[in-house]
Amino acid sequence: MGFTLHIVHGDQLDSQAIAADLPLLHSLARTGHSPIKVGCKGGGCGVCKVRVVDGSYAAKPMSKAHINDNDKAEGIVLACRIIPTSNLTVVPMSTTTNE
Amino acid sequence: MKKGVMRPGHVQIRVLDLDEALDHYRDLLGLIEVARENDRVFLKAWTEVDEYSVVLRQADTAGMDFMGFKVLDEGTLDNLRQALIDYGVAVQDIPAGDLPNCGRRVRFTAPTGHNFELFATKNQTGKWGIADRNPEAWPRDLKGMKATRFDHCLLYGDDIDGVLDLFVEVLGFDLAEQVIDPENNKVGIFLTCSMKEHDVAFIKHEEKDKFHHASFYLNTWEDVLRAADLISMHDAPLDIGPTRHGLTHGQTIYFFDPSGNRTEVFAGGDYFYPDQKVVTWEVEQLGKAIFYHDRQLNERFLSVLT
Repeated sequence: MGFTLHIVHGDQLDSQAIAADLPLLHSLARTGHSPIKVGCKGGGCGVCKVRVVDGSYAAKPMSKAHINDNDKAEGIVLACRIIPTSNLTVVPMSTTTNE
Repeated sequence: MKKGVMRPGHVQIRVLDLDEALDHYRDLLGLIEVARENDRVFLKAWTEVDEYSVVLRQADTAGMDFMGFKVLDEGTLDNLRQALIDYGVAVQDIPAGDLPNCGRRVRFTAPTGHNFELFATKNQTGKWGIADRNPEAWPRDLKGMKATRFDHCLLYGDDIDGVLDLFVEVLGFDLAEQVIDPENNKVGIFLTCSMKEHDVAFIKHEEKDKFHHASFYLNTWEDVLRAADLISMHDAPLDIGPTRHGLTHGQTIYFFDPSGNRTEVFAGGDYFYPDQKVVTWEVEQLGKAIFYHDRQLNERFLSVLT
């Protein structure tokens, strides 16, 4: 079973399937063409920062150097550390892709 | 070892989850867990004679707390402490026992913002799993990549000219290799206190106190390929490799711990004597300098730091 990820790029919306049992970024990196920048995949480097504007997720620990409590409250998270529990709509906060 | 600094002695790395970190450092990399204390775990690589070399600390950020160098003896530590003060560096005296079974440490902050420390004494438990007398070739029950030693760190920071002067003039390191830009400015420096091509290295970067990787030595290229297999079996995040560096010519692979700190295992590489000229790579050839086979830069390798 999986969910659908909607990614907001300006006024454009792209959609793709994501796994329900994997961190969001790990689903995207498996395709080889992640629309979100791939860094350390461990919540330490901060390059995969996104804002979740719709949907629910479980979050693993993220470095406070990149995500503070206010960020979390506003849905700003690292894509490598959230496991979706519903369809998600996200806005990438770093647009370069490298994988 | 011109001023009595012998080798990298330990590194303390911040991790977001200690149990996940142990799965990486103990079960995949193959370090041996020797002790736990509150929020820290102490590990060693099997050929090291001191009780531990890697300290993992549970924290809410990733990165490096400090790197420690072991010096010849307590007298050398006194001399280097005074030399740091005379050079104008503030030192912090950390009493014996702050790290378990470790003597007093002299801590200072380098011009790049990284915390380093010097120490002379740590409990010596000997090489793990083999005897001091009539030793066998290797212990039978090592895990994972069977890393043999903590070898060096690569750190990113702003004032690498300052850090070069401090490490050479005060601590007696040599500059083995460098990367220079067209104006002859140093953008990468590889420093040694031994016959190794590097014991610590720095890359110029606008932020202070960033951690690129901690590196561990393997014996052969075959071991590096086996490490690559284990990274896949373990589903650990791969950064790049297996490949060879132009800089130092080591055979290498990079991957990330579960908190995003980068780990290297490598084999081979050049050796160093103090009469050798500095090996220079031009920044226009940085792709080949870092990835000798691909000869192309990888943005992640340059910009993903903790």
